[in-house]
Amino acid sequence: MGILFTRMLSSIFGNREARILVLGLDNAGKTTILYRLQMGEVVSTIPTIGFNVETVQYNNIKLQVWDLGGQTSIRPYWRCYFPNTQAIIYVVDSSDTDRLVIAKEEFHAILEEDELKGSVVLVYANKQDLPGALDDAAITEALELHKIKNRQWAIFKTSAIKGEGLFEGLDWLSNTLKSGGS
Amino acid sequence: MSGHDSKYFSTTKKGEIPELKEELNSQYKDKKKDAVKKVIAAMTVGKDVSSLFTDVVNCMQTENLELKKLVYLYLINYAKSNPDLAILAVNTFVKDSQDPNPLIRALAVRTMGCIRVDKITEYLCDPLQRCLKDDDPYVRKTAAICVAKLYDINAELVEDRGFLDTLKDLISDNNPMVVANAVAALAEIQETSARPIFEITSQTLSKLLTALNECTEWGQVFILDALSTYKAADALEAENIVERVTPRLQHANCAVVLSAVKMILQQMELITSTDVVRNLCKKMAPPLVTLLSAEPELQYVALRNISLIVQKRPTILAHEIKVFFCKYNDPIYVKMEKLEIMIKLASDRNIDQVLLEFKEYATEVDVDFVRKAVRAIGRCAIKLERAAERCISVLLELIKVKVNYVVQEAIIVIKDIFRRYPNTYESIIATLCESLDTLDEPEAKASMIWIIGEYAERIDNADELLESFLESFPEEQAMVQLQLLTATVKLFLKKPTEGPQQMIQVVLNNATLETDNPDLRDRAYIYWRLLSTDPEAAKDVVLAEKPVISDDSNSLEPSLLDELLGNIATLSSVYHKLPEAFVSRAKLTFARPDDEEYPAAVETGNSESPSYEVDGAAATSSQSFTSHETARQPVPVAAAPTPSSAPASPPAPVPDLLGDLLGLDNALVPVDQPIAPSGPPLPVLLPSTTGQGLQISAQLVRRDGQVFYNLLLENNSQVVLDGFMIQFNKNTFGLAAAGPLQVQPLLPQDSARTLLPMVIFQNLSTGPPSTLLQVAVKNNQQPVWYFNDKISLHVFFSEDGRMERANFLETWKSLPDSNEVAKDLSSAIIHSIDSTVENLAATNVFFVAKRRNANKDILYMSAKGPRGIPFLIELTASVGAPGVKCAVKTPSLEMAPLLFDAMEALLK
Repeated sequence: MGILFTRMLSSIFGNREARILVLGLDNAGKTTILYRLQMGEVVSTIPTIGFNVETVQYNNIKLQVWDLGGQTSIRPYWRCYFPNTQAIIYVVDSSDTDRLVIAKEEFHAILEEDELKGSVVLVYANKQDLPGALDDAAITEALELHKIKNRQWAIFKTSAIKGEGLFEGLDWLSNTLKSGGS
Repeated sequence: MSGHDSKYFSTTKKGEIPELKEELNSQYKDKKKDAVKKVIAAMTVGKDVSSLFTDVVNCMQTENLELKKLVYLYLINYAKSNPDLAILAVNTFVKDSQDPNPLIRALAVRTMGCIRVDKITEYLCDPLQRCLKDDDPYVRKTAAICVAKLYDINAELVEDRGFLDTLKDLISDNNPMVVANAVAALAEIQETSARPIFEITSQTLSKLLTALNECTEWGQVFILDALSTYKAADALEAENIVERVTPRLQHANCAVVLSAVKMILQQMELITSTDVVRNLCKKMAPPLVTLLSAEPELQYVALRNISLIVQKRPTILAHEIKVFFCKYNDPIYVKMEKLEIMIKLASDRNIDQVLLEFKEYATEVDVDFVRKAVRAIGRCAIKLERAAERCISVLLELIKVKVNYVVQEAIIVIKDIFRRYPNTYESIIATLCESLDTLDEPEAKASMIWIIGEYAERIDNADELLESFLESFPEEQAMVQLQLLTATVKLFLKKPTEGPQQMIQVVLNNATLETDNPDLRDRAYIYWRLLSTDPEAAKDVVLAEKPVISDDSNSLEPSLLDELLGNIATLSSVYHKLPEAFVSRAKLTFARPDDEEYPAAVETGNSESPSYEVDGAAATSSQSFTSHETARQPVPVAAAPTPSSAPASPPAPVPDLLGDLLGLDNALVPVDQPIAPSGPPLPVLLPSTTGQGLQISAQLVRRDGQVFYNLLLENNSQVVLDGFMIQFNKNTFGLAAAGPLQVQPLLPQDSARTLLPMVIFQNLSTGPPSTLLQVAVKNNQQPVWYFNDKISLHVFFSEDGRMERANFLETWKSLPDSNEVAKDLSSAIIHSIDSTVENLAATNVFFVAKRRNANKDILYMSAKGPRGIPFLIELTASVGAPGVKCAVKTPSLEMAPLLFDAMEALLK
């Protein structure tokens, strides 16, 4: 029903910005992905203490993308950004196998949030360019994505450095948001 | 309906905050900006909008400079109340500090410095580092100040990151504003740091002097202030520096002028050439005079600073005294300061002019100003010997006007003039005496009395005059009483006739017996002793020649003056106090109590003896009241009776006084009081018949929360008894002596009383509770004596045994009924409820509630026994009739019999 409401609104207000959160553990590549999407180039980043917000125009849909810092100390403040969010991009460092468990726990904690009940989930299995990176199937397994019920989700293999897979994911996201199905 | 529909319910009723919240999250930029403006407006009028913190911070990343500035403003205000969330702003600061627009970079770094949240300072170091090396001078100068702010929050971090060195590098910056701000930041850091951080070298000196000519006025103030701390190597360098700085004296900004004056004064210390110094003094005069044409508030600041400058170098303004003449429309605070400076500048050359001014001021309407003017005349008389006579004639003219407060003030200063020029102007005493009746202020009265006493031999009717004051002796202020006492003694010594003899009797009697003022009493006792032991010595002491005074009032100690001069153009030079005295840095406040409170005075002073003020004033200024000359002389009396023993041992009554004065032994020697407490006689436990002449009476008592064994030992034998020791057998409460028994050797027919501190739970006996206390006492001469004492439970009742009614009821209910026992105390009696309650409270049995039932009064009391055992007591009795029913409820029932015993004893 939430999405129905969104669709109603968009029909009234026209071209409305979709609010998207980019979440994930620290050093997963969130900021790099944001600027790759926005500017199409790789920028050097430092750990994000706080947030970045940029507007990305893609496939006739305007995305307001919020990249939130992934450090342990900042994760508690993610919830401040949850309201009115249409989609979550969850970024996982596929080569950081040690911390996949933590990534899974954080991920499922987010899915439990009431305020994010209506948002769709896009998972980026990032850093595919690194040796030893797990593929999308393995990440799906590790994050227990199959447990997700009642919402649309997808996983894509990406490499932010090389620019691979990001826009495929965004295609899926924009289509899903346009069709407004949950 | 699915779960998330609940939001529709929670948002049906919106307040201002949720409305703002929604607008802040709007995707339309205008709406967002309006919302932030509304938030700032609410913040400005004092509404708490801190709950919108994250929503406002989320608006921070924007291209719109106006919106960004507003968000920054919000952050500065609320970051401290949301220290955890403040971290969310860090990334934006980092980004903004790299913005292509230098204004945004500077804005970011300035805001970072203002946020003052320790948690995020670490993240802000990198951007700060970048900004300190920025290409744009505006960013660099802003970053320099930010370092000082950061140092205040986290000094260690600043030092670790090497910011101090970067700041020092900035002194060599090619932009003068950057140099000025770097200097300001370093100077501020230096103020809070104990070790030297910022020292000007000859290299930096030239850079600072160059920057001085180019930077803004406030930058000039920073640089001048820093330069004034620079110690030039030699006179030549000092001269060079001063030469470069002199043009600043012409600046339109008062702060620049004062800072330049400060700097020049500091460097002048080193300059030896008198010509150069004279020249500089000449140059400094016009700018200082110009300061006095500003608004009154600025004038006041200038005057306070000039007051310091004049004390150090009077020559600067010696010829400018006319600018300090008061205008009729000057505010009073300006007039007062001008008057002070006029006194300082008065000289033989200009005294006629000055006196004319003062005389005119003395006819104005403002009483305080008039008084100060009169006093100023007196101070000029003291300061300028050759002008003294003219001053006195002006004063006499003023006295003739017969305006009450003028006359009184004149008498006060004339007293000082007499002390300055002894045996010169006493001819005017007759004139003074004419206005005797008009005196109603203590200081004037005291001054007049001093004059009468001091010149008693020249005033024919001195005794009559003094007698007229004596009538009101008990009502007078302490300073008047002290003077009356001294003056009467002087009179008596100078004219030992019958009249003064009677007067001195009355005065000494009043001053010793009728007063609470220890100063007065002590002085009276000293005189009394002096007079009664050796009247000649008394003459030497009381009539000794007094040192001549000089006018040092309102002048500062040279070292203090120098320090204050170093602080010219700051609040310190306006207050004439060192910065440490009123600036309390948060770090220092806990170590040093506020100076305003004068903790020492609280300790030594006494609120009922205002003479301490006189004392203090006399110490710093000999011009002020000279009432203590006797006290300052060496007193040939070994020891005056201490104030504490004096009331306990009153001197002989008045009729015997003259006998006393003739040298008879008097009753002033303090009598040793027995230290042991008095009270009802103790029960005799060891009669002297069984103790071979030693009789011991003893009882357990409770004092100040501790149990003592109150012992009285009486020696009725024929030998000296010594080496007393005491031992207690095991007992129910484990009572034992906390220390050895301290009794001095007992002479025959002598007795000793002592309070032996006791401890409990030391040597516990087993078995059912018993009140038996077995005591053994021995001494070196006799066999060991054993006797039994009875422990009364109430000595263990602790002071914190009071229970609130609710607590009492709760405890009562929590105990099973089986824990309640009752007993009729046949010999107990309640004479009146109030007195019983009071008596019981004294032994820590506390009243909880009372009620009446069938002609009987029922009292509920609580007590707390050893080990914190509560006793809930119910007393039922008819008032006045013997027999009290005592019921008690307690967790340790075995104590109940002991409680009954104790209650019976307490209610007898």
